Amino acid sequence: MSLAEVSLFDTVKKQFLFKVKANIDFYSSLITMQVFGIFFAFAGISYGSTSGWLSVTIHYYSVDAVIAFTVFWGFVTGVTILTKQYTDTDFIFITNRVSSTLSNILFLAATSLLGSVTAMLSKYLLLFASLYIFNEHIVLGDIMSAGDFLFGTAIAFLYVFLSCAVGYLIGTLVQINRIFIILIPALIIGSLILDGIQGRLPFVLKIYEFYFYESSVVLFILKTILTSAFCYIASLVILNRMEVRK
Amino acid sequence: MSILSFSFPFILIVILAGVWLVVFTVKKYFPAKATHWMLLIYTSVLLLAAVFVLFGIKGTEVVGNKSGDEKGEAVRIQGEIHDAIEQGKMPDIDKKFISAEKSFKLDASVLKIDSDWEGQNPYIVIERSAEIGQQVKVRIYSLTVQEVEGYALTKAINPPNIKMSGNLLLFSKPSFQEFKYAIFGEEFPINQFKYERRDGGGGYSLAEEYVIFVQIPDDLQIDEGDGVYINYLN
Repeated sequence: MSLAEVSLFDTVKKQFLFKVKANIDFYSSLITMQVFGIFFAFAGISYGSTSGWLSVTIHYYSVDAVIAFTVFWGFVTGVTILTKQYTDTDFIFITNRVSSTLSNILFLAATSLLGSVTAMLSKYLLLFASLYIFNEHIVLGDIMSAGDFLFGTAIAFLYVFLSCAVGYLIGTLVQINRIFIILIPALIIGSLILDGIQGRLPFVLKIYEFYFYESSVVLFILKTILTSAFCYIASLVILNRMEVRK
Repeated sequence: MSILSFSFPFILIVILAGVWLVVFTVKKYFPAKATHWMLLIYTSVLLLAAVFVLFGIKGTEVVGNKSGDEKGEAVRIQGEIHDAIEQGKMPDIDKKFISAEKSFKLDASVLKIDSDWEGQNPYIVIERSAEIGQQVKVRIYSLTVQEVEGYALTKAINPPNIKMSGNLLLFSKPSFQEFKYAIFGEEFPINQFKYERRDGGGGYSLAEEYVIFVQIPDDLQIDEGDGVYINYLN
């Protein structure tokens, strides 16, 4: 029996700071994914035309690929943070499922923020290369204002964080039973086939439209935060029913 | 070299020095692991690119205006030019449509006018004038519109060349030009909530049209080449 009382806040804080320093593999995978995305963005689409006295090349750039890769990275991170390799580190501290989950959520939020900021910043790298290495003229006028940058980062953060949450829930289900590794992809593929046969809009596409086609910022924020909260709470409830160290 | 191009290396050094200073100040939080350094270098590169672009972009010759106005103006001026031709008031046309202007001394009694624009004879309007002495004055009005994704980038195009060799006045196509344009789409997290999405305006188009106005002395004879279409005002 220990006389020292440890508050949940202190435990979560310690675990979070520890995870930020210890889980460095997530950073290297983030950089790798984003560098891939940047290469995709560089390759982009280009169009060329040459007449007798005029040669025109138009290069279309977008960092959507970088953001998409970051969202995917968020999903993978959400799943893998619950693997034994990472959960074992929690037991360095006095812990329970609540503190472990809360510190994981904070860690995922921090890395999502890092990923969103770097993904949005990568546009400037493309602009830099376009302007000073490829000597291209930028046609479109406004080069992402500070307001757009902050707004874009916030929205990208919500996407990455949501993706982490979905990954976390799936990771939790896999903790209960490994059959979910097969069951979840099978359900997705099965629904695609079934919707295809019945000539309906695929369910996966409906989910995609639910978030990506939302034109109201407030509704989008509500949708992503509520879904993320649902995923994390569901994960916590499921994990709480399991032994602390399983 | 712009001020920014000159100062960039210094900005770079200052930022890098700042990054290193932060690293060494909080060294205990930065264990010397490759991933941490990789992350640090990666974010530094992105930040440097951002700083360089945000400060440097103003110094570059960027960006077109929506081409609607320019197109409309070109169409309007086309009408104006034809009216002006009929009324002999060509010099009254707005000077911004003049893409080239030259005058030459001529001692010959015959002036040969030709062009090397294969398959597209330039339209030349000739006005005889007693007031210009032994000179030939040439003015090219450009109605050309170059459009990239709905943005007018016409000013970048060189005007046709005017050359006087002996008594031959030769018009040739503009010298070879290479344009490299970049279009940066808005990221979906920004674009998703905008009612007016910037999806571009349909690639590239070039509409070329020039009207060449030539003033010659009253008594000068004109020898028309095969490569020109000439209209005499008087």
